[in-house]
Amino acid sequence: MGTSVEDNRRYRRQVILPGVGPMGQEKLRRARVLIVGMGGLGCPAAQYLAAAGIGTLGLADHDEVSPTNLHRQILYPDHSVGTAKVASSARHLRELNPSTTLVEHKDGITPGNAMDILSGYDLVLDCTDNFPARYLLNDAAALCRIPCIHGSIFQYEGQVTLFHPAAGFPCYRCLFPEMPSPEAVPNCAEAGVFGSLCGIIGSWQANEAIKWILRLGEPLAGRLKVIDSREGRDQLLQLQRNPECPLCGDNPRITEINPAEYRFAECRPAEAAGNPVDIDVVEAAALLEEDPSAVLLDVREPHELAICSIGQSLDIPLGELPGRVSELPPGQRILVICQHGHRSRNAAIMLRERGFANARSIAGGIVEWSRQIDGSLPMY
Amino acid sequence: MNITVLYFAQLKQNRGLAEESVETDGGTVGGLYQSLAEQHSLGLPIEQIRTARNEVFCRPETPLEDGDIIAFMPPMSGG
Repeated sequence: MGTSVEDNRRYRRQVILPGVGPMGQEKLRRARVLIVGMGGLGCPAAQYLAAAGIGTLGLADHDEVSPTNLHRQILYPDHSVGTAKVASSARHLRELNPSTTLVEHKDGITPGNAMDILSGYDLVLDCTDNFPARYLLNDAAALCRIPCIHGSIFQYEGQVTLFHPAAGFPCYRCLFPEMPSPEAVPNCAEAGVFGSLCGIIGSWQANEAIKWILRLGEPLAGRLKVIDSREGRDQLLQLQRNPECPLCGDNPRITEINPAEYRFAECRPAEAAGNPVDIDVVEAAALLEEDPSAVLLDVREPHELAICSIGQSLDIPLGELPGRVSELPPGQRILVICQHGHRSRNAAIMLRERGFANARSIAGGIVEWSRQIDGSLPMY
Repeated sequence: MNITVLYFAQLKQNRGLAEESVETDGGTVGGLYQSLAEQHSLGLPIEQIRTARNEVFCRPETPLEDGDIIAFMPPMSGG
């Protein structure tokens, strides 16, 4: 089997496990595993997979290391800020286990390259941080007939499961058939994320990958494991294959990768001529000065407000807005603000639908406000 | 009948708690969500969440039974 004396030492405590053995170690050496998204989940997953002796590890991410990544993306040292995540992580993983072949996919996974890249691997880990990437990966993995090990997180809560329609198990679309609108669900930047939870979920993904390769135990297929790290609660929810699934159902709609499928839907309802939903920050600031009856409505969460806010605002988090519209003065101008302008747009559209014709969304949000109006605002 | 409701992710945040016990006259899992969503401004329409009954994902039209543990889960994208 060609394992060296050094390898025998390196993997000894793993090889002696019931269910692994020298044959198992050889299976790991021959395995080709792709990790998509080298962020909070991808970092710990990659470390455990490389250390376990996975022969070929693909790393896909187009992003660079940012200071806001460092509290949870534990492959990146302080000095790596600004460097490509794939290059920086490959350097550290090479030191961890020189015998693992690392393949760097610097452009990440796109509709154009997904099938080509995935077809070179035995299984893929979905460690991405956005819905278009998750749906793309789910679909491409199913079309390539390889398992996709899904991990995702929200604040203190995470979930992990294994999707694999070719083996009769459900896929992500059996759970959530279509991509939600971008405003519906906040991402890490908007919601915050507990660093060590990424280690828990990313490690579970590595665990499921190694188990799958070794045919060890029960895979988390058809079972969604949900971990609440704050309350110390776990749930295991059973998921059946959905015969109406648009990807792996009885009459699938998706039979190839079509780029249009992985764009966030443009949510632009009919906008009254001359009354666009968006207003730019300069115009918004001037309007608030001129019109003392105009209301600035901040729809960010309380922990975001604690970091920074703009003067006299009415603060109602987006999730509470539908039940609290009565707090808004009818007939007045309402300028809605959030961090980047997505949630505020959603709020403004909702308010217009409820009769607040003068509701507008401040484009670019408080981030743009700090750039153009008030540079002293602390950003996050 | 008495139902235990579990909220996940954003719904947990919007509701301000992870679990509660509710009294209801019956109906469906989806109907229960609609009334709780209205009562507590949960913010997400039923089409954007998944429901589970006694640890098994189920359709919203699934009837409720006394003592059920019902879970409401939105998709989460963070990584």
